[in-house]
Amino acid sequence: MTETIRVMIVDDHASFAESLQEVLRRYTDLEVVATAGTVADAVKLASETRPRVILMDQRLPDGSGTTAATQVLASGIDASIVMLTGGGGDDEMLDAVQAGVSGYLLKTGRIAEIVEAIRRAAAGELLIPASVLSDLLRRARERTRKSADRANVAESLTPRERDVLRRMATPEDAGAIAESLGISRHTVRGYMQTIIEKLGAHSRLEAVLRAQEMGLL
Amino acid sequence: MTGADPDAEKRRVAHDLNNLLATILNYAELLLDELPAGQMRNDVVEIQDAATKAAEITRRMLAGGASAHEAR
Repeated sequence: MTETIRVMIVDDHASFAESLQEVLRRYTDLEVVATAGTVADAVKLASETRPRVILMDQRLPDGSGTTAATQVLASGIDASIVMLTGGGGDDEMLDAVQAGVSGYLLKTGRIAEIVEAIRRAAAGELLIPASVLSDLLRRARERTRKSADRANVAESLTPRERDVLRRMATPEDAGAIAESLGISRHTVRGYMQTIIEKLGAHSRLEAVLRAQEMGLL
Repeated sequence: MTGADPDAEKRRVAHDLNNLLATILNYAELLLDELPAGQMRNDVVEIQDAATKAAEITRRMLAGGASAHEAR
């Protein structure tokens, strides 16, 4: 006789969790050993019940499913985690994949797909198609590069340039900025030009927008 | 002025709606397992189809892509 697959459901919507548990009960090779509605409960119950597969919602009251996945995997539990979501954005999926989850499924998908995913995850398979994984890795590299760019720009700005940058995001003109900083208008213009160049922009407005995108403002 | 992020509120509503649709779909599958061919089974299939279409709309809302109107 083959061993049953121990499954844990993590979802704060009790009616959904109950309905899924009810459906999975019909499959004799699956056993729902726990349900949790928060990150804290997920980590605690995973440790207590040792599920082989965890079906994890992305949005939980006390954090994200990705956070819960990270904590469960860090605790050394030998579980495969499948995110069951409403279909969030690529960033959510990327974060989940980087956290080490095995798959990402729509919770409104057919039950047969979810059951198949549980069986494959239990067997240690990665459920994300190669094409999607490749795209995600490309995005991860892009995100890393942007993050490095942001760090480089932030590091290259002097304290005085940061002061000027903050004022560039206000309606103040160069004269007003010069007055508030106690420096000449000519010097302010010089700072503004340097900031625009460091941000790879072509105008004050573009520089402010890029600085906002980079989280510098 | 509450300062609440309207996009975050829309996503929260879409998330809640999606969970209800997923629940409807789960119970519809349970019913389909029990029902023999016939009118009642066809009715449940109609419920399932409508819920699946509604779930696709919420999926697009959650992904921040098309509006519900575009998703029809």
